[in-house]
Amino acid sequence: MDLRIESVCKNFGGIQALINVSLTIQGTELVGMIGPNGSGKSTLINTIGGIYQPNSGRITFNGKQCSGLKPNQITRLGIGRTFQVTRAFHRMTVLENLLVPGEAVFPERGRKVLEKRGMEVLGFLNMQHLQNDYARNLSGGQRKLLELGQVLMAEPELILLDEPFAGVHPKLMEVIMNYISTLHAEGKSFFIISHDMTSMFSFVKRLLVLNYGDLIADGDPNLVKKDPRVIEAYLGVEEG
Amino acid sequence: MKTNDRRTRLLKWTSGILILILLVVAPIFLPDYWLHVSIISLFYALMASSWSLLAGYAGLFSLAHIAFMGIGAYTSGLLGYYLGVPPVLGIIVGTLASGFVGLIIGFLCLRLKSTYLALFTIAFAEILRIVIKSEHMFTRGDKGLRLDPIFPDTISRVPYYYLILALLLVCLAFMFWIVRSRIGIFLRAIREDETAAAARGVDVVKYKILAFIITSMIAGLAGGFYAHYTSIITPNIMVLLQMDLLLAMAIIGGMESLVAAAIGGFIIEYSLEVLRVLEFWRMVAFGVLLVVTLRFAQNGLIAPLLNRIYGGGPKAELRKREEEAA
Repeated sequence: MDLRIESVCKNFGGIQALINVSLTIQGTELVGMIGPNGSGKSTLINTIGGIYQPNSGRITFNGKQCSGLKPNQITRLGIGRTFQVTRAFHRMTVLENLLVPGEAVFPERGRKVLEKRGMEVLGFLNMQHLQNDYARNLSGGQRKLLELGQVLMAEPELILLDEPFAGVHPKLMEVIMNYISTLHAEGKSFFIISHDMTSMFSFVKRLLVLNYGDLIADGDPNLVKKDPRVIEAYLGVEEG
Repeated sequence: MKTNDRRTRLLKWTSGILILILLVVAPIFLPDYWLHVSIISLFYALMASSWSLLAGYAGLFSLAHIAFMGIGAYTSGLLGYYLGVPPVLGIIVGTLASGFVGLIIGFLCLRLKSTYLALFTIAFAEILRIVIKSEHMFTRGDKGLRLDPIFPDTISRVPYYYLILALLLVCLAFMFWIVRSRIGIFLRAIREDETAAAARGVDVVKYKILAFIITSMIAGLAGGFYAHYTSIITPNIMVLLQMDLLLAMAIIGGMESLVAAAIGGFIIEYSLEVLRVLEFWRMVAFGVLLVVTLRFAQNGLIAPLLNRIYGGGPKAELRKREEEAA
């Protein structure tokens, strides 16, 4: 697995959401990204995922050009993602929600095999009993897990998680972290975006900090924590 | 649970076969006028069910469905009138022409969301109707275009009844196959959330266009049949009022169910004839029914009824209802 982001800029009118962002995620990594509100974290995920196209710079995944591709093509390349506000298909059952990425990425497998795989994913997430429930009837936490299940159905090499712990009960947060750790141990790479510093410092092995679209830190969470630019970004500087 | 499933399946098959037998033997008992009403009702059932695939399943609220019907009708009519093309071949070409225009409209509408799509398709339908009306030297405009009958050797309506019944059943079976296939799952995902569907690997552009092509072709096929059955067509078959009627049929039946929309189409067309004594008040009554349905039963009146009888909808929800009832 090799994701390369090279000098990516993204503007929305006069606002520069990403300024020359460059980073690489290689092998099996568990990378986190923090940043204050409006720092450009979700914009970066949306740019990697093909929802936004960069104004300049380039993104490659396993040597293949990602810039210019549509989100569905990027999913097929092996990058899966969740959304900051969950976007499950509400008027479809939980199992049907899983069949969508299954059928889209592995149409050759056939419905029965995909349903079996869907049940395995639901088993992993402890949600088998909800297979025939409409997604609209799930709780917020269950929807987060369902989205993770959708991502797993596409069997990506790299998983981008946009605020997976936002608005989640601390117990469920622990559950989600356990799932991520298990999947990471099985060889999946993660790029997790969160504004929750405390959880990220202890959870990830590499931490990046984005501030006003600028990547200001990248490294060991314990060192990043002490970086004066990170402290300034979060706490500000005393005047005088 | 298994006994319940078996009972539901048995009920489905038994009632389905009974309704089919009833539809097959109906021409023996029906007077000529009501046979005509039945043919037109089956035509509307086909139109309403195909529109429900586009609007109810794919979420593409197009108001040009009646225009695609017109394209099928006029293509076949003009080919027959000017080139002497036989009706069956004309209907086939008309169906393909509707699909081709559906492809173009699908492309043009790709980026349009609900309200804009509805406005765009209304504009397209009206432009097409006015062009056909204005180009009377070619289309014969309001004077009407005469068409050859599909069955020239008989004046009986019975062959037309069986033909439209067969077309409805074949198209419903095809649409059922679509809905249950991966295409159906993708269309529903696109209806729910285009961005999320794309992020899950669905080629949104491809499947939206495909939905337009398939439903336009079915509308074109229905239009070809209608034109050769009535033997004369005018641009009036494409007026907006016809589209409104189609909307009412699909919405009152149940937009998210092919069968419910078809039943809605059939029952409303039949009711309009039965209630003819009420003159314009029947339209008022259906208008009120439409408003009430939209306010209180967003999946129509027939679809929930079918769910209640046949146990549609996710089983877990049913279980919950059973538990609540207990």
